[in-house]
Parts: sequence; structure tokens; C-alpha cells
Amino acid sequence: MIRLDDLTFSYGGQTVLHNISASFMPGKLYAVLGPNGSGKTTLIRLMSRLLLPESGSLSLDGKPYANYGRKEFARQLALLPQTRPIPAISVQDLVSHGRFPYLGLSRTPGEADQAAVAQAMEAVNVQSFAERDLRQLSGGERQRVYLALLLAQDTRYVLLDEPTTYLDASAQFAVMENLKRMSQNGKCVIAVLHDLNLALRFCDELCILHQGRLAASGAPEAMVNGGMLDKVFSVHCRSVFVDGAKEYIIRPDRAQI
Amino acid sequence: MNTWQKLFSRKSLHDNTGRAFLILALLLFISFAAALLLGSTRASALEAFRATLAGEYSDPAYRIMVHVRLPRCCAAVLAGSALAVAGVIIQAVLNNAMAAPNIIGVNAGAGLGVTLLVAIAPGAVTAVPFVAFFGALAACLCIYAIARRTGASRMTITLVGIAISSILTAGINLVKTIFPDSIYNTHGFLVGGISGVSMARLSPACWLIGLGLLAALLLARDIDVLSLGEETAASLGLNVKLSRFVLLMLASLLAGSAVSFAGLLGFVGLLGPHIARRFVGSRHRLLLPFSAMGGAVLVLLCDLLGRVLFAPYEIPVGIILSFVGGPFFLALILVQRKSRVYDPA
Amino acid sequence: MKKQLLSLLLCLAALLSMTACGAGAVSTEAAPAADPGTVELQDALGNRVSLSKNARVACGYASFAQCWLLSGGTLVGVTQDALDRGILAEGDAEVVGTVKSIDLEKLAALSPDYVILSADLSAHSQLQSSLDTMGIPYGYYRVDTFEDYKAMMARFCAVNQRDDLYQKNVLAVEQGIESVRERIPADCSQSVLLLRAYSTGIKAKTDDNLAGQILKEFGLRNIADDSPSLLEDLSMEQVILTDPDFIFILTMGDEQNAAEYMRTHLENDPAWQGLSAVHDGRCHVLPQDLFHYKPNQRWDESYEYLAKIIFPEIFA
Repeated sequence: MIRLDDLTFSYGGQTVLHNISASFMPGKLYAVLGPNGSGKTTLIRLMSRLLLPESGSLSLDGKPYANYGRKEFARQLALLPQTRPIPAISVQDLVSHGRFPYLGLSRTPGEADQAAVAQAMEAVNVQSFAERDLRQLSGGERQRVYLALLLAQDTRYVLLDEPTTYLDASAQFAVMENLKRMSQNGKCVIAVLHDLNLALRFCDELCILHQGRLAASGAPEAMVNGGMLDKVFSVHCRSVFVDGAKEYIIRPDRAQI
Repeated sequence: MNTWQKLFSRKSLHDNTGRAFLILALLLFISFAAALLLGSTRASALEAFRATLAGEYSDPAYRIMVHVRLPRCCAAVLAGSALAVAGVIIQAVLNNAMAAPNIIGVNAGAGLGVTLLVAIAPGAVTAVPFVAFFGALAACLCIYAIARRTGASRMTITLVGIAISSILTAGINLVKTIFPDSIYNTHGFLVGGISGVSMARLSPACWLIGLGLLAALLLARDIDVLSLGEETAASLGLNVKLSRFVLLMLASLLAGSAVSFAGLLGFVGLLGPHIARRFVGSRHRLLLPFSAMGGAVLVLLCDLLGRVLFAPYEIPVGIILSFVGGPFFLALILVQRKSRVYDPA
Repeated sequence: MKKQLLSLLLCLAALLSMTACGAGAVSTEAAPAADPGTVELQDALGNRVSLSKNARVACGYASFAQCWLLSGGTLVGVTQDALDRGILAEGDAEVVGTVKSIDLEKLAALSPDYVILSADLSAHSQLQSSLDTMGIPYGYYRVDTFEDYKAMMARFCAVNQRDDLYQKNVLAVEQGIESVRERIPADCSQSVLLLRAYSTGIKAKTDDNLAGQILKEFGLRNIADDSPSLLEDLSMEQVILTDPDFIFILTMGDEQNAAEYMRTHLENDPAWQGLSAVHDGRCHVLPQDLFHYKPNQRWDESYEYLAKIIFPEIFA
């Protein structure tokens, strides 16, 4: 479990996050939602130890973040940032970097590492283009390769910052399905999402940030029924039944426009 | 495609890095041999060989081969590989394919250090490589610090580097003005040249460069991870700050050592890695040795050209390199197409 | 009538004294001026200025300043190099900047009647228009050979009316040079390499400088002449192949440091050690005051210095 206790963070004199307290359990897929500027990315960066909080504490599996060594922490928690440079390497090479926290001083991957890499690539179905150059893949394919990187890193906790932005609709679904599967396999997956629909469809729990505070958190149903989404995003959200399954519709709030 | 095209097409080389490696090694061997056999005079290799066997060490052909051309070829290989690898490292750390030791001022920093030393303490010849190293390091750290603050876009880094390079070069010229008789300040040093090197002068730099190249190869995977982006690298457990610092030190060591005997040689750090990347991509375990060999071939051939074009007078290798490298750099800037891909694409 | 006769007599007297001073050289240049007591000076560029004995003279080049002093004149302004070389002591004259950068304000503040400058320095030629505007008379001089020195001294001695100094600093020196020239063998088959400040390249020099000229006079073959080119970086390979009999090195700047630097490099470079001139002790660093700066009144010593090295059996 990742536990946040009363986290506060300021940047440039302005407080970006106020007294955030939350906990995240393995086996679930979390969505971190919120309007622009609500502090989502900052929260993810704090949780992945890229930033240090001003006050409050973070702990992973009962141990404070500060007590973890660099490589030790890297074996527990992996982050996929929103943007990153793409070097001219093959798919195989990229995924193999996921084993970096496990390599010794000689930096040579062992058999276990190679097995983990192969397994990770199969899990997201990218092994067929293992030798291709990253830059030649489509956006969706590349994102799957990055998921393989995360899987190869073999961490219990996975954080993703807007993993579906700029992807085609079908690619977005593919990513979310992979994330769902990862959570079902026992990982704690936390994704910052922009798309309410995806969050509502796939995630077990939503954490809604508003103006730097945790406005609400809970199962999608609870959030919709409690009107939290409506309030924070200025929309009308209702559930409907389509083909016997519950779906959510988000409509504009005419009064606010 | 005929067999020739098939053999040398980019794709086939990419697929078979072993083959590319062999071709490059062959090229290096041929260049070294050519540089040894050809020169500004018609000293015959056969004659030199015969003299070696006969023990006639005062034979002119022998002396030319062993005392003039051999040290020069070694200097070319050392300087070329050191500067190319320094270029690879700087490009990885700054995440910028256009950064090179001469462009961003690392060479100029080394040059200023050396110029100051020779102006103030001309007799301290052994201290030269170390002063060059510190000068290079200072420039590196300066660039890096500024890069952190300004957000490190490719163009920004290059422009900042050019500014710092200008300042440092102005510093060199200022020292020249105040101490006009400093012996080191001949144009040969400023444009980069390896005439007049002897094995004795190369040996401290040789050790430093050898160690530097080895260290770089050992850190190849760290450089790979660093190239994935700061956040991803941190997430994978790399100590990003320390890595960057260590790598910059390494680049400074390599560039500074090269500058200490070859002067301000430019563009090797840009051309070598670029050409190597075309054939082996960005996997540093391959890119580093490839760039090193490519840089060595480049300096060997340019030096050879400088020696035979206007024999028996010589043009410093730095001038030839600039004629080759300058237009290449321009072409790079103009044709920036897909040299880097970012997600979201 | 009386006045005309007097002027004519004075002119004749001036003419006679001129001829005594400028024996065999520059009679046309030291033409008597309309004003008695002044002498017209013509510089290397053809400018003519009339100068009297007590003129206020400034000089922008140490070697020429020395010439002026050697001819009995005094200076009101000099450049820093004159002090550095001990030609003048501190306080003897006003310092108007460095030889490469003369401070026009300071120069103008001295109200000089004449400024002696070098025709070979671009930093000096640039000043011409400013000096014209300020109405300061000037002369650009060029001294490459002893004949040039002699001509210049003739003019200067004429202005200062010091025949004795002309005798001492020019004619006596000329005799010294002649005595060297007489004893030089007619057929010299030796080769020489003349270098300047070896560092990262071998800058070969031919006869565009004093040492090169003297070597040419002695009949030595300068190996750089075999390969005429605008370039200066002669290759080491060429030097090894031609293996010159003598190697002379001109240094710049601090002589001690230069000599030290050369020694360290030559000793550690097997390419140099293999040259016969180096291992037979025929490689010499030339002293700056005889070969880098104009030797002026020691010009004969320059000749003697080289003669002793090249023809030791004649000039013991």
C-alpha cells in the first residue's frame, strides 16, 4: 500500500497541493482526475519521488519513502511520464532497460532478466516487432512497448501520467485494458487521466483533485451518484444501460456555459 | 539492388552491426596505413622497413616514418576517438544531437586553461593536460547549469553553447593580447593541429584517453538509460544528477586531453557520432566504439589531406576539419526533419 | 646683396657639413632648408618635414627611439617597449602607450614637432590621418638592412648636428661589417634552416628578416627557399630529408622562457634529435637584441655572431 499523509507542496510561492491524504492498494486500478491546474501531475511526481513534499509524508508498504534506496525503490515503483525523448533503439533494447534496477555493477542482464523481458513483451503483444526501431512504430504500438518496459521493471506499483493522450480511440482502449489486466494480476496501477469516460469505464477507484485538494475519492458509481464529477468538472454525468451493461454519459452543463 | 548496394545499404548495415563494425575497422586500418605511408615527402616505406631491419636508425626514411609520421598517426587516432566519444557523451547528457565539444565551448574552455597556463608558467609542460581538463570541465558544468535553468530545448542549448564558446575564445584572444609573446599561442593551436607531436608528449594524454574510453564503455548502459529522459531514468533507479556529473567529467577528461596536444580541433565530436548513429542507432554499447573509430578515421584522413595538398608545407588538420564539418553542421540545422522523435508524436 | 651672400655662405657651410655627415650615402635627402639650423627629413614614404636641432621628438618604436638617441637627440615621448628594453629609464620621457597601441591623446598633449613611426606596423600606418588632422608632423621609417640604418642615421645626425656620433655609431660599425664580409669565403655550400618560435609548427623564415638576410649574404642555402610558398608551416619530413647543416631559431617574447621551452621540446622529440645539426651542436637560438630587434649600433656584432658560428675556422 502507498499511503499519503497530509501532503502539501508549493511551487514558486504558490501552494499547489493542500493536505492530501489517501491510500492506494495493490490489485486496483486508480484514476487521478481533475481539471487543469488541479495538481495531478504534481501529485504523481511526489508519489514517484521526483519531488519532495513540503510537509506531510509518503510511505510504501509501511516504510517511509525516505528509507528506500534508489534501486530498491525502483524495484517497487515504476513511472511512465507523459512525454519523453525516444532514442533510436529497438523495441527489445527499450524493454530490456526495464531491468536496470536489477543489474549489478557489470550492467549485464542475466537469464532471469532476459526471461522477464520476453515475458513483458508477450504480455502486451509486442514481441512480433522486437527488432524494429522505436521511432518507426505508431503511437499506439509505441505506448504498448512502454507498457512492456513497465512490466519488465516488475514493480508492485505502477504510476502513469496521461498514458492515453494523443492515442487513437482503439489504442486508448488497448492501453486501458492492459492497465486493467495489470491491476488484476496484483499490481497497484495509478493513472492520471484526462478522459472521464475512460476513467469511469475501466477504473476501480477515482481520486478527484480540485484546486489542489482531494475533493473526493471512491468507486465510479459513488462519484457519479454523489454528484462529485458534476461539481468539479461542470458537467452532467448519468449512468444508462446499453445492451444490458451500465454505461456512463457525460453531457455539458448548459447552465455553466 | 546490386550486391554492392546490398552490402552497404543502411538497412543491411543496421541489421548486421557486426558487418558494419568490420568495415569500419578495415577503414581505420587502411587510413592508418595510408597516413603512415603518405606524407609531405616521398619517404619510402620500403626504405624505412629495410632500415629498421638493418638497425640503421639514422636513415632519413626510418626517422620520418617512426619519429614524424607514427606519432602523428597515433595523435590523430587518440584525438579523433577522444573527441568523438566526448561528443557522444555530451549529446546524451544534454539530450541534444547538435551538441559537440567544440560547439558548446568545452574545447574553448580547455584552450583557455592551456593558454593561461602557458602565459603565466611557460615551463610547466607536464601540467598542460590537467589544466586542459579543468578548463573543459568548467565549461561543461557552466553549460549544464544553464541548460537546467532554461529548459534545455535543442536550439537553446546550441545557442547558449555558442555564446559560451565565443566568450571563452574571446578570453583566449584577450590572454594573447596581454601576453603577446606566449609561445603556445600560435594559430596552430587555435585551429587545431597535430604537427610536431612526439610520443613523449602523447603519453600522459594517451593514458588519460585510454582510461576515459574504457570508463565510457563501462557506463554505456547508464548513458542509454539517461537517454530515455530524466523522469524515466529516475524511475528506473538511476541517480540522474550523479550520472550526469560523472559523465560530464568523463567528457571533459577526454576533450581536455585531446585539446592538450591537438589544440582546438573542431567538429569531430559532431561528425563522428552522427555518422555512427546512422549505422548503429543509439545503443551506446555500439555507438561509443563506432564513434571512436569514426572519429579516428576522420582525423587521420583530414590530417593526411592537410599534409599532401600543399607539400612540403602543411595545413593544420583543424582547418581541413572545419571545411568538412562546418557545411555538415549547417546541413544538420537546415534538415532537422526526424532526427528526434518525441512522444506524443 | 650682403644678406644674399651671407645666406649663400651659410648654405655652403651647411652643405659641407652635410656631406661630411652623410659620406657616400644620402646627399639628396639631407637638402639644406630655407631656414638655417633646420634639416629636411624625408621618410620611407616620401614625406618631408623640416626639423631643427631642439625639436620635440616622440617615437613609437623602441629601435627607432634608440637610433634617435644614438644620433644625439632627446625624446619627449616614447612607447612602453623602449622602457622595457632599457633604452630609456623611467622618467626620461613620457610614455605614450605601447608600440601596438599608441595613445593619441597623450601624444598630442606633448605637442611634438615630429613623431617617428614604423612603416611596417599597421597600427602605426593607421595613425596617419589622425596626425594630419591634428597637424602633427610625422615620419614613417623602415629599417631592414644596415644600409637602411645608415641612411636613417645620416638624417638624424644631420638634424642633431652630431657628426661624431655618426662616425661612432654608423661608420665604425660599417667598417666592422666590411671586415666580416671580406673574410667570408666566396663559395659556401652549406644549408640552413631559419625558424621562428617553434611550438606546434615549424615556421620557416627566408630573407624577409635580418638573420635571413645575413645568412643569404654569407651564401648559405636556406632550405625554405627551395620550396617557395606563402605558407610558413614547413613539414618536419622535409626538414629530415634535407637535413640542414645549421638550424637557427628566432624567439619572441621573454628570452629565458623561450629558450627553456625550446630546450624541453627539442630534447624530448626524437624527430629533432635525429637531425645532424641538433646532435652535432649546430642548432642555435639567436639572441633577440642582435636579431629580433634592430641591432642598430651593434649591427657588426650580428654579422660577427653568425660568422663565428658558421665559419669558426676563419673567425675564431
